[in-house]
Amino acid sequence: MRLDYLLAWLLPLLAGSGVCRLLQGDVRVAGRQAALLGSGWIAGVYAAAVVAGLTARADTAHAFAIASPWLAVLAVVTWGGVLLRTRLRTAQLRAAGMHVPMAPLARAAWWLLATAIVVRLLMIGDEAALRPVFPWDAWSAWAVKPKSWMLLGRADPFVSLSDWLSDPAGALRTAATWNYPEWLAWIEIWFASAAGGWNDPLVDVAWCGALASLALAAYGYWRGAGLAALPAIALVYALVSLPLLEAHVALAGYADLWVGVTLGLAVLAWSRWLMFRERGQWLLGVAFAACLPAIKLEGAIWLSVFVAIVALELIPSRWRLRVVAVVAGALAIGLLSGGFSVPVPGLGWVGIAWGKLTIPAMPAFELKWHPVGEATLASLFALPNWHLLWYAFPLVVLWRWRSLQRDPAVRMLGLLVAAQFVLLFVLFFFTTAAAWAEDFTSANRLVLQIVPCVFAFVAALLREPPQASAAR
Amino acid sequence: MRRAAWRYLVCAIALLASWWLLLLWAADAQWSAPFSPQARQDFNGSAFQEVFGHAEARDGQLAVQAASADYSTLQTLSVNVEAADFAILRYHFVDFPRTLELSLVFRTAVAPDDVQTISLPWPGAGTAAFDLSQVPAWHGTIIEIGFAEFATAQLVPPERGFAPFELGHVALWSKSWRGDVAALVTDWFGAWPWSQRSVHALGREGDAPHARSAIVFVALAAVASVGWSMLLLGLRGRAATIAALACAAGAWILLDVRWQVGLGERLMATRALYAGVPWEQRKALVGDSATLRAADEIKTLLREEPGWGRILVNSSSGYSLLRLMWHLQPLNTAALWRADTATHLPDGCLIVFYATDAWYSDPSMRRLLARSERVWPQGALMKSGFEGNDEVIVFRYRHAP
Repeated sequence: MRLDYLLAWLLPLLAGSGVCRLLQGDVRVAGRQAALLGSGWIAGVYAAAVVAGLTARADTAHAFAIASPWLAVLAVVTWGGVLLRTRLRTAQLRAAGMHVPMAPLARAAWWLLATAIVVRLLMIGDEAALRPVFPWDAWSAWAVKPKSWMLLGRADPFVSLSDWLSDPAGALRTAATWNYPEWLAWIEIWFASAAGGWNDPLVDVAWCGALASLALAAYGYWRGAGLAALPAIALVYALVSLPLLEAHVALAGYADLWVGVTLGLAVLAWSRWLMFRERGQWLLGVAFAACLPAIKLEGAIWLSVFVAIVALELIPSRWRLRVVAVVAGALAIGLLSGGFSVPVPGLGWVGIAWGKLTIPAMPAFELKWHPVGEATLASLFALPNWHLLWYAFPLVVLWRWRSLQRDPAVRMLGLLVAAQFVLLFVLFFFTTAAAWAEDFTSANRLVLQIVPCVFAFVAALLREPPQASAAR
Repeated sequence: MRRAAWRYLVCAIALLASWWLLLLWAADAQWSAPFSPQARQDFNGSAFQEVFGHAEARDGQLAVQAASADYSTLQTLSVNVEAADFAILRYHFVDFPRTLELSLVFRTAVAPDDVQTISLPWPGAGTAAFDLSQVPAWHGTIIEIGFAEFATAQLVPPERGFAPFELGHVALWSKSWRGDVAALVTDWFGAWPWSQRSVHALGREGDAPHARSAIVFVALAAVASVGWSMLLLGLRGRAATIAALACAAGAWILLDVRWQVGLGERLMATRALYAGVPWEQRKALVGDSATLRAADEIKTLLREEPGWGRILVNSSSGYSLLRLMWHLQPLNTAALWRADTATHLPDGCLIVFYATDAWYSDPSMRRLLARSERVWPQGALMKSGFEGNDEVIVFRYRHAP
């Protein structure tokens, strides 16, 4: 293996974990290292993509060589800042989830589950590391730009077909997905340039890194939230074992996994703010969420939902209902007066009118009832995409109903997940996107994007809230 | 025996009975059907005749030793059976390569010219079974059955799919609980290759109807287990919660083991093709190797073209068109879906037709190309074998004067 390729994995870990550590502050809590490594690698990979996109457009073949010093500087600066702050301040120690000795049987079960997770990741990673890119959108949409940029040695702009045909110099390029966000393309360029050239498997194995990072971060955050080691690892096992999630790693190349991982990390960090009021985690959560539109267009929708709930949470509880009522009233007036437009980052001005939703980059959605219940139920409950997740999820909510009533942090997470479900329900049952549910195509991939949030909510339901979380 | 022990015994019996009833429901077994088949027809592999490829009868089996020129193989047997009487197919192969897909083919007396095809999971080492009663075309008198094998579509290069194997034994059974459950086991545990559907929804492999969902079966079995435990063992409160959690965990692990076995089978198929092969060779091992060869041919042809030259690509299917564009990178390509989408083509740009006759059969394309020069193949008006899948026709577009 080339040293550059190894460094392409390690540098993001160093730089990203430095940034996360700086934001997290000096709170020592169980699972901190795991959370730091998991969220750090993703943050670092995104930093690498940004830096490569800014500095290596003219020489994509050497993107790693050009961008890596910047990442190394970021790692040194952030970890320097961490060390400096550690010297100046005394770390806060929080009892939540701190080391509790495990019974021998529980310890054995923990190791068994951890081994099962690692074996699984090795299997799907091996699949990704062997095969030339296979799934349709991977080679027809997401890898078109990075492959052509790598082989060309420069990042020529992609434009629409009409602009491409009318360009007198012929210096532009086109693809059906010319207007897709380019962040994922730069992640692929980062790994490909470190590998010494375009190499599908060495690029695609980053998808395995994304899932492993989510698993690590989830374990760390859940431990920190007060979940014992065994239930925390059992939840991680349940998450990693989901067949569709694994299929997206084994057959890497789609953007949905990255959207799910990023949204999941945003919610995990935000949940720490909800439970323990750690400002750094709030910032980290918002920062991860802000990355969503740069990954995939629908990331803008998830960002909007996230921002709405985050903003609602910041409003003092006695005002929330009134604010919701005012916003709902304004929406109703806007609809009755012929519709209105709202700006959505990454999508532009989204038009909402009675019976019609207009998003600039997509065909208009006619809002009317589509009977796709059978296909949706089959996808969630009968086909082997999600094991027993959608059977177990409502039962866990019922079982822990008192926790939902008692704990404001859990209620907020529940509200976010409920909003996401409502959005998917409206999308599949009231718009022409119903076809995605009926032909079993995009519907499951959209569900995949919110699955890490569902697990974050379940973990919050299962924890025994310490006194600190009752503060608000 | 003490009363508590009796309760455990009754609970165990109730659990086993519930699971067995659920299994029969999942297998779509008829309550009136016998446990074992009342009628069966057995065929040795050696009874089958090769249609495509080369095969020899050996020790009662049919040793398939070589594929045909199009890399496929087919073995058939003339039969005379009533479909309604024999709905369970059992088949056994030896050394069946992981790089091949298997299909059942059959013809009926009603429509002897129509060959019906049903995708079957990878047969593995044991005897697999398939319930044909769900297949609408399996009715009337069956006059021929057979098996077709070809490289796994879109995954395995056709020329790399075949390896020698043996057709061991085939049987047709009348409906019975045993046959139905065997078909259910094959349906639930059969190894299917990855497909383009796998990133959208798993469990929809092949074109044949599937058995009832294993997920629903396991969920119902878990609910029955918790229900009986509460009813017969009197579990309440914390004990009932623990029992429910244990059932849910067990059910999840069962489903996961099943999924992981399938994942392992898919990984072994991948490793059979790619393990230990350097990337420079591996990148050529693609399911559409013919398209890759066509792309290499075009790249060689256009090596003197300036790097900024624009190329429009047309093909008979979206898959072959987009794959050709993928293989042509970094050439500056765009899809030419229809002639009317390209009203303002730049003079001198290239138009590539791949595996399509649209360049002469589509009137709008002919109008578009009216002034264009054919760059490849030169000389001949119509190259021999122009309808072949690998065919490439290249024009340089010229405006009308």
